Amino acid sequence: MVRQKTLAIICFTLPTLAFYIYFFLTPVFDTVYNSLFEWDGISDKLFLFLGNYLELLQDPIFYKALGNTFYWVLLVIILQIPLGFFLAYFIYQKVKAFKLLRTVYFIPVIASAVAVSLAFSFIYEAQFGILNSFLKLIGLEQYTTAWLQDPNTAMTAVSLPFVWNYVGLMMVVLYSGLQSVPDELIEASEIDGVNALQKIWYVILPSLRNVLVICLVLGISYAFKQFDYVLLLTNGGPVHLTEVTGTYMYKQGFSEARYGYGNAIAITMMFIVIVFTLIINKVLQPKD
Amino acid sequence: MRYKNKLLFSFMFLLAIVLFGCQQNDGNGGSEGNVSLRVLHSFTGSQPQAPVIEPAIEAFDQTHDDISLNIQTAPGNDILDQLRTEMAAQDPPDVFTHWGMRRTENYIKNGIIPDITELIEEDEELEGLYIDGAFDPVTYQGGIYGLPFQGYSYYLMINKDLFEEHNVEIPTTYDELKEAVVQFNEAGLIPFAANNHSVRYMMLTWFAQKQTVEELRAYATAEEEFGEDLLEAAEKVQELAALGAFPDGYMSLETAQSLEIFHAEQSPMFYQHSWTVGSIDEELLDTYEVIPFPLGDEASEPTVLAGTGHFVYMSQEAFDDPEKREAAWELMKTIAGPDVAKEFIEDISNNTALNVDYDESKLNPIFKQVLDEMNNAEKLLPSYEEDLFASAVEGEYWPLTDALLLGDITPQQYVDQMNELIAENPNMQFD
Repeated sequence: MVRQKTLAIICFTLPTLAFYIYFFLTPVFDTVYNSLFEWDGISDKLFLFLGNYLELLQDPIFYKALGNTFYWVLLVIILQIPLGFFLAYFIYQKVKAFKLLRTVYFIPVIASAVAVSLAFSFIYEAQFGILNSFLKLIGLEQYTTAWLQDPNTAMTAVSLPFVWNYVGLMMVVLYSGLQSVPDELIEASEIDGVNALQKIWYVILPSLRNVLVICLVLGISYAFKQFDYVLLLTNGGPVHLTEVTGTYMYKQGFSEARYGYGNAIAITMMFIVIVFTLIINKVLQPKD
Repeated sequence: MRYKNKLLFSFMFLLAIVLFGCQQNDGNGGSEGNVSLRVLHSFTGSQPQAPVIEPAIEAFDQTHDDISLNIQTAPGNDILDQLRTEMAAQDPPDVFTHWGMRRTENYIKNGIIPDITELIEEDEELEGLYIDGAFDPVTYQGGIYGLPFQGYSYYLMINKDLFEEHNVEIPTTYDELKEAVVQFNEAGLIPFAANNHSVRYMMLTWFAQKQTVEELRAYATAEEEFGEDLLEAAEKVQELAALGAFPDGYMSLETAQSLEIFHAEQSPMFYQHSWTVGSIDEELLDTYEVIPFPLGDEASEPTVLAGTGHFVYMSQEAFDDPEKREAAWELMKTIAGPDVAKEFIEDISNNTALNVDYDESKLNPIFKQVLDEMNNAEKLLPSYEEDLFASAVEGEYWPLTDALLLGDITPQQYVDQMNELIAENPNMQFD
């Protein structure tokens, strides 16, 4: 009986394990391996050892892309998660039609990036765009600009679809966290006479510490992975103004056919995300 | 025991499904006696050439019982990444469409695209079929690697009504153009319905007005360095940008969007690639006219930039298999053949690489003017960026030119950086 169970466990584990090794671990090791070569995907590979990484350290466009990606991370922290919390707390109050609102807030998460980008390109378009037309309509013509090209607005304009897209996800994660906060705790604080802000700051947020860590890790990894909005709205331009590490990696790997260099960017990004995750876990670790 | 058998059976069944899903197509496909070809092209969806290319390939498939086509598409520039990925995976399509040497050099150098010079020379049907210089962009170190089918030219189109309404003279020189820009700005119009491509084309045209083909090649091969001529052309476009000749956000404007500005009568001038002619609003054709591009200065000569831009290739693998080679060659000749060329001209107002007869009464009037301008041109030169760059230059050239247009670098810095770029990556096709 025990042998049969062991056999069953092996039979059901093996396919998953094989899939995991083949589809996850192998590409990671393959990426590390290829990052040590100069390779255009067609010609023979030329072993550079750390040559690609040394080039990356001196690449000003990579630093610009990294800076833009950190800007996305900043937006995750100051906009995406707070907005997600606000929405989650709003529907947690069991307001009227909260189930409908929960669905409405979540819709952007399942919307296709192409559709979202198209919608935002209609909004930002300099000549006929909704945003400029609205500003003209209300007499603020002096504030109209080419949102995706103006150095002062381009990066923020291209970031907003990303922020908007994942607010719903943050809301769902935080909402599930809110539901696990014991009612007794909240009631006790209310009996003690806390006001609404104190309740959020001293009772709810500390109870959501682990969920907030998940949101942060998710937000940061998405910020580093995301590149479709940039690719579709500006393609990183003009002149790398809106380049993020994801688009730069994609362009180096696929458009410039520098697979080795593209892989080196990917590994560097992975390393940065791992470091970030470790720091977040360390900093936000619950204190006894 | 029965439980064990069921478990084993389930496992084997799952394994069989996985293996079936992972099986590779051996490429021969089709039934016995049939030759199967995998075809990749970019002329699908909203691409202006799709109404001609797609039916032509499908008709070929239907009329050739002995050839079976597996047609794959990647619209527009998507084919660049699609093809590169397939090439890297050592699984190239048997027949595919692409730009010239500037985007296929690496495939040629690595032996993935075969030299088809002999096939062309031995085929009597092709004799005299193509326009002069049609093979230049696919000629690499003495060999020819593709069949040309689409041509291009740049054309300047104006809205006559807007010129008359605002009492502006049609410009024939750069100075007159500047005056027109100022007048149209004062009238609240955007002088040029342009995007960054159009502005690059303007710069290349002013540059080419002072060059010959030989001089252009000397710059491309780094035999000569860019100097005053490119500097002046770069200064002109930067000056026009500073004068407000282009729309807000023109750098990120799609070509179709810039055409909409022209259609909406917000702009009186439009300088673009000839593939856009088929997209011009037919109801407004009477108000439009094609005019010669203004001369840069007294030393400039009237010049039209034109050449061949798209080609059809076969892979080395298909070339090595006699049956596939024959089938692929037939398909290539169909795509780059006179029937498709005629439909290009008559139906979609697109330049072709072939000498074909066509019914003039079926021509779009603007396209007729574009063709007349080409046919009557005193000087017809290839566009520097379409025909003469080495592959490695292209990726840097666009952002560098964008930096110039944005004013991030001076015209002199632009010329210097272009010289460095070409020195590092000279065009090797003429060696």
